[in-house]
Amino acid sequence: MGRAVARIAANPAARILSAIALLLIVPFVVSSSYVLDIADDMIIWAILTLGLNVVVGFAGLLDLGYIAFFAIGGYTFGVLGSKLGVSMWLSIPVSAVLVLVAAVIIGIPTLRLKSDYLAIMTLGFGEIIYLTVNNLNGLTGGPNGLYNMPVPRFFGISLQEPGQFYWFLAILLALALLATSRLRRSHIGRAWLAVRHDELAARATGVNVVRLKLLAYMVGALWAGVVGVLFAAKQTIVSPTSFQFSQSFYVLSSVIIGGMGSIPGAIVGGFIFILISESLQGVAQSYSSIVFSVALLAVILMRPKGIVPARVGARAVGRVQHAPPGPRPSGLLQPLSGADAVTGAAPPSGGAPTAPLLSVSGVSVRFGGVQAVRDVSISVHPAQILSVIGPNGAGKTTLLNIISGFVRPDRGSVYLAGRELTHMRVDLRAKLGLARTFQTPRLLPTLSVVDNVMQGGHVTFSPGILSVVVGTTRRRREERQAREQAEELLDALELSHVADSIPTELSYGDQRRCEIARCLALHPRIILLDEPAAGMNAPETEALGRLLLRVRELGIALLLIDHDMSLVRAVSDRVTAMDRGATVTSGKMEEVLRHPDVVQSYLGA
Amino acid sequence: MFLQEIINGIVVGASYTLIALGFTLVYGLIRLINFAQISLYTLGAYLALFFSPLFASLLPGHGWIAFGLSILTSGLLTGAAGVAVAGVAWWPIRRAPTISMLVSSLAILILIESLIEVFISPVPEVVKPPVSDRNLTILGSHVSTLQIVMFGGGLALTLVLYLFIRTTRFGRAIRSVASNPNSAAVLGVNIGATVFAVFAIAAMLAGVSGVLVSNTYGVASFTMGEIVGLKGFTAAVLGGMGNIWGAVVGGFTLGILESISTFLLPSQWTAVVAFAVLILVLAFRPTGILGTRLADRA
Repeated sequence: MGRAVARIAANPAARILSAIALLLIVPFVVSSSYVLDIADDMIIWAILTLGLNVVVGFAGLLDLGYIAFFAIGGYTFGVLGSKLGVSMWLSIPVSAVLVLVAAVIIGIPTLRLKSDYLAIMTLGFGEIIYLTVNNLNGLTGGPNGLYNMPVPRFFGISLQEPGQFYWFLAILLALALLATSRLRRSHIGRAWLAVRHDELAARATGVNVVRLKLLAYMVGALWAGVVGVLFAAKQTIVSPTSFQFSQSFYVLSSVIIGGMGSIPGAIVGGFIFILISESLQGVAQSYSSIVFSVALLAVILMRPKGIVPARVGARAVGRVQHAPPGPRPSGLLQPLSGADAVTGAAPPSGGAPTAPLLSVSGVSVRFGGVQAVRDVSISVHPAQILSVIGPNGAGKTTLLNIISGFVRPDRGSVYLAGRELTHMRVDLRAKLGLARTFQTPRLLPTLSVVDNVMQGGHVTFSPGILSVVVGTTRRRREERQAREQAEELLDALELSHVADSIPTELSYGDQRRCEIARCLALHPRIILLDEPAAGMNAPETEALGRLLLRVRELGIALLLIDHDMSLVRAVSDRVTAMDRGATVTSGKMEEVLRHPDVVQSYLGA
Repeated sequence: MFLQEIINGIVVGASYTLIALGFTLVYGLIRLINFAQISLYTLGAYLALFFSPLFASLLPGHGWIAFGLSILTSGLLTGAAGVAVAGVAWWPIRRAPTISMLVSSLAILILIESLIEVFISPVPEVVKPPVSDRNLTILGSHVSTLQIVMFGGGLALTLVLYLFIRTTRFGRAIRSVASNPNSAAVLGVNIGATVFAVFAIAAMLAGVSGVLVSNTYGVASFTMGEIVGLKGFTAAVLGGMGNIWGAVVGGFTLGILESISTFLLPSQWTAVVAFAVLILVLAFRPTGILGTRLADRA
């Protein structure tokens, strides 16, 4: 029995099915219309919480005006229903369009801002909507609100009774649950978590951060806009009091108390809110805001992940179990061949190819009074390893940041495979096959190792959100292939025993290799490696060297920055030495190391 | 008529300035929009509601002294509340993501407001200042003595704050933490104490502002801080977040803009003007008029 429950609990699809089953049983067990009315409210609030959880919990956008979308939904039905006699059913799509338009209008200028400014902007938006419905007496009835909307009917059956309305709400909650959890487990969900935890790393994997934020904002708005119509229909009245700032605060509290980013958490948080506020209804309604603010503070201080914390790396059912960790069959190359097939880059047949893959010419950048990079030119050919060496502060990482797009050069240009990148956005560079690692590994703590690698393959997924929500077979196949590929990559990098771990549990060396796996998932033409051997011991460094050479054999070029001369010596085709922002010399390893200026910059003047 | 609106705008602007200063100080130091600031403004007003009659009865005939003492006591107590806010919304979660701090300060805002609503009064209170407020006529426009006190007090507090931060040893500590907490810590600045103190100063400014506003306009309610707080924040952003003179410029600009807007819009829409200004500034010039002194590079 216990094991059966555990198996159901471990399977997302089974969890949702059992939740739906539970929902459908309720009206058969409960007949009191008072209880069913509360159940209706619980579902409405749970859907709201689920929607805000996409915005706050997945994408990390602190939205303090979320209730505005709920208000737009409610007043869409209020105005259309009471003035024109439009039915609830027709009001739903109208409201959906309106909230999506509102989300785009408010989202495009605000979502570029830092999260705390976003919080204030959304708060302002919520207040504007509230003041508008409160002040526009002619249209919205002002403080008195609107009533006289047509009674919702379903094939002639009135849905006025809480018990009849319940069915409809339960189905809607089930759909919202299904859609939300599909989104969460897709490449879009992984990209949202990446945006929430590390925008920089997300951009480096090719995620268009503003677009993904807008998407989350729109999904949240849609949930609220649709459920707002139902709320108005159920209440038979819409008035401004339902859409005050405190309501936004309550939805946010429900998300955080339930568990940020956790789907079951959102349901639990939403249910708890209604149960508490209903039980306080008789006593004194204002007590509920005291109870809720104290509960929220207690959760933040003592259980920051909420009542039902978001799960990391839920295994999909039917996934292949890995062999226990141990010596792998020799030849890392074999498992990587799958990746080779998709890179499309023809492995070079030895000898120097004619056209450089990456060419950086004459780039300079100045930070305040420091000339960080001065007139540097380098080029990397396909399947070539170029190492950039130099003392600390030589400008190596800045050069790498210029190539990957995090720093704009004052002068000079960057070309990749004949396309100019100099002013291109970071995520577009990733789409062209430019991947990078960071000096300190930047893996996502809320995704398992294998999911981190899959997130790295973001650009390999076909665009479109509807196919994710519907769960088309093409999508499923794409997801399955990406997972298989990520597992192969982890296998090849001897990380499969930690595939389901949280990255922070990994050793430093393993984290670095996981970052390389994430780069490979992007099907790159070139990988920029920023001190990959830092923090590795000698055998690990040696293994890393072998790995880099194998990556090169796949036709992928590497630009390596490292201080470990044994690694640089072992893998480099060519070496460029930098000092104080400028190139000292370039050439073969031995020549470069013999160069008097290099000797001087390393040994000190 | 026009001059009258400008004067009203300037007076209101002084209160926005005081709240904006509180936001700017805390934000400049730890990059936190301290929502609790808004409830401390309300708290200040309610404390004075208790202390003003108390001091007035102890010092009959000395209305201004009683008022001064009431402002001082309420301000100091709000300052203490500010320390408590920092103890909940910053200290225990200072290493957590910003979102946790934002939400806790928001929770404190709701908590203080609802405590006032439940235990003091759910309806607006009439505030009777302990001094006789007279109307003066300047160039055909009406100004009350309390409005002058509010304006003068706002300017004086800003100046004191500026001199405090510019000239004292403690002010130097604040500036060093704001520009780089790590190197400040290495140089021996006690970061915890500095942040707690700044929360206290910001809270005092909000509290004093609440006392002055509630006495000038004769009303206090548990939600009185919400709209004013958001306007104070708008003022801080408009002038340049993290910049003391930005708070002043932003506060008065917003006050005057709002007053002028009453010629064009019915008065219940003035709040919308403030939010529109906020959204436009954030969208098109997030560094504000004077620019952020402590702008963080993304």
